[in-house]
Amino acid sequence: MGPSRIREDTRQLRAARPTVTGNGVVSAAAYGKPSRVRAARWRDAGLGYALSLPALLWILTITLYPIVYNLWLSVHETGPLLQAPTFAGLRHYSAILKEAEFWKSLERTVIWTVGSLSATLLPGLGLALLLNQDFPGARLIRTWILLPWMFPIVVVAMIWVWLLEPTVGVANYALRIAGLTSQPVVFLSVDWAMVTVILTNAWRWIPFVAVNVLAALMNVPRELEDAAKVDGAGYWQRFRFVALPEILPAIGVLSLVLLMWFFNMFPLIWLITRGGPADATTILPVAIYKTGFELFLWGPSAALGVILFLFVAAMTGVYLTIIARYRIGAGGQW
Amino acid sequence: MVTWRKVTPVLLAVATALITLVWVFPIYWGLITSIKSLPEIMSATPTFYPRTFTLENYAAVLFGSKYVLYLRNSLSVASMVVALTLIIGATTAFALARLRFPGREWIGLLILFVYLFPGILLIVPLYQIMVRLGLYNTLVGIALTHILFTLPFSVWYLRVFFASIPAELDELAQIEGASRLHVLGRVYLPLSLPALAVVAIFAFVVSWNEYMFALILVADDSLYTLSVGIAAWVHHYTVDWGQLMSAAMLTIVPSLIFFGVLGGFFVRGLAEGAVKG
Repeated sequence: MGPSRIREDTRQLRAARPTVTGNGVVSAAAYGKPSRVRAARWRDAGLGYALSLPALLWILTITLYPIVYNLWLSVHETGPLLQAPTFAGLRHYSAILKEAEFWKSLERTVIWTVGSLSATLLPGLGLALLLNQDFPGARLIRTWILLPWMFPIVVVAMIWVWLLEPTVGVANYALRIAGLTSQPVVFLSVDWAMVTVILTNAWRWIPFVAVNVLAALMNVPRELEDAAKVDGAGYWQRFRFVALPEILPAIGVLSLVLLMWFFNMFPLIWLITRGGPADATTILPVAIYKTGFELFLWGPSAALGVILFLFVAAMTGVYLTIIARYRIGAGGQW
Repeated sequence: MVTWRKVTPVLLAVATALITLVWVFPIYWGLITSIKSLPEIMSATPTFYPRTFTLENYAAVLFGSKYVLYLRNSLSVASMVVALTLIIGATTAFALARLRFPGREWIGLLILFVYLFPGILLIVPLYQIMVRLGLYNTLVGIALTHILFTLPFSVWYLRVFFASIPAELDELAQIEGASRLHVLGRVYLPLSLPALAVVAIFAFVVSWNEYMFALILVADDSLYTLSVGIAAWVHHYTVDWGQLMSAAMLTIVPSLIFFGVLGGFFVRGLAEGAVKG
């Protein structure tokens, strides 16, 4: 009774699974005569465009046009009120790339992103495995665990700043009582601020990861688990050879989305530290905000945005390539 | 005799309860801080259940601050967002689910792109555009940007829901002579009321919670939404933790109602989306 047997049985069952087809579009042929068919088809198309128009207009004005406009801004020089824009070429870009401060922000952004991802994904997976078990109250927790994620970010930030308050905060009290510290810990100091915001962010996102992974786990076909059980697989073997391959695609998508979100995240850090102290938590999104809305350097701020976007695009590309290669390497299966 | 089969669920429940404390305790702490008196809040030895009970903090927030004004702004923005999300979401979802036209798949992809495109990269250009359009420093401007976050989910969710309505229903209605638009209004929308409710509440909570665009698109403190207004307190006045926690507790009420009514439904919907990618 080895892993190969479990793997083989699982593979066979997977292959036998029915595939879902059909997209539910009513075919125009249902109307009868050819001329009426054509007329109905045209009407459908016209109505389709008409109904999608508001959404398209909105995407155009609120996303696509701003993206182009941002590119334009990044190669122009303007005053704080956008007076007299003059062409600046790639001057903003070269200035940014020469600045030591930019590279430090980038480094902090990477630390923040990698830190947040590791502090979120593994505990989230663990929590999902726990919640996937049957025990009294499991159903209730499976839903309500997501509640903190729905809170306004400002509330999360305030509650945590209060918990971690250096003089009368409860976290410091707990550390003191436990005998771990003699001096109050200043959680938002230059040394600790980054760790603090990463952990606060993890607090917010672990439930989200858990709920998503849990959903994938619950979608693992019962027959696969049962077959593995019949084959004598223990809990970890079943997780490794049955559940994990099934949930990997979901985890792959989830971590990509989180990677993009974390890399571009502004509100939580801004609310807790305003990028400080002494820029210790100024990641690139915070730098974009400060350059634009505090220094009114719109051109450089826009250029920073473009650079950040290029990084995100490159990371996404690398990520997808790795995943594609892994997929092919695993014989078309995750 | 006690067997593992019987003990395991209990152990799991205890372990989960302990882990859940990580999320329960901060919320509990915020709640009890909001009903403690100031001396108790500031004492060097924190009390884990309130010795004093007072509603002074809530009274100060509701009657002695701009909270109610911010609340009104948040409600105005959220109502606009809900209305726009429902209208645009339902029509687009219907077109994508039930009408065949060239470019249909592209629209779906575009919406996904918008969903994944980082909002932080839009703050500078959107600010400028809103200034140009005369929508800077207005609640309408904020509402228009919040749709950025609500529409993709709504279109996707309603599309899946509409697609699950048997297509024979519209064939029947069309043979009877009803137009497509009639079918949407008379068949799809009434059948989709639960889904529309999910979308409405989701849009409300997203708009209610949003901070970044509400921050950059408004200058007057009389137009602040709750998120921006409360955040400004922390940095502008001496921090009164009792009042701040009262404001925080009042502000999470919509999330609580949301969960009470639709929690399971929403988690399942979110989960399906994650699995489908």
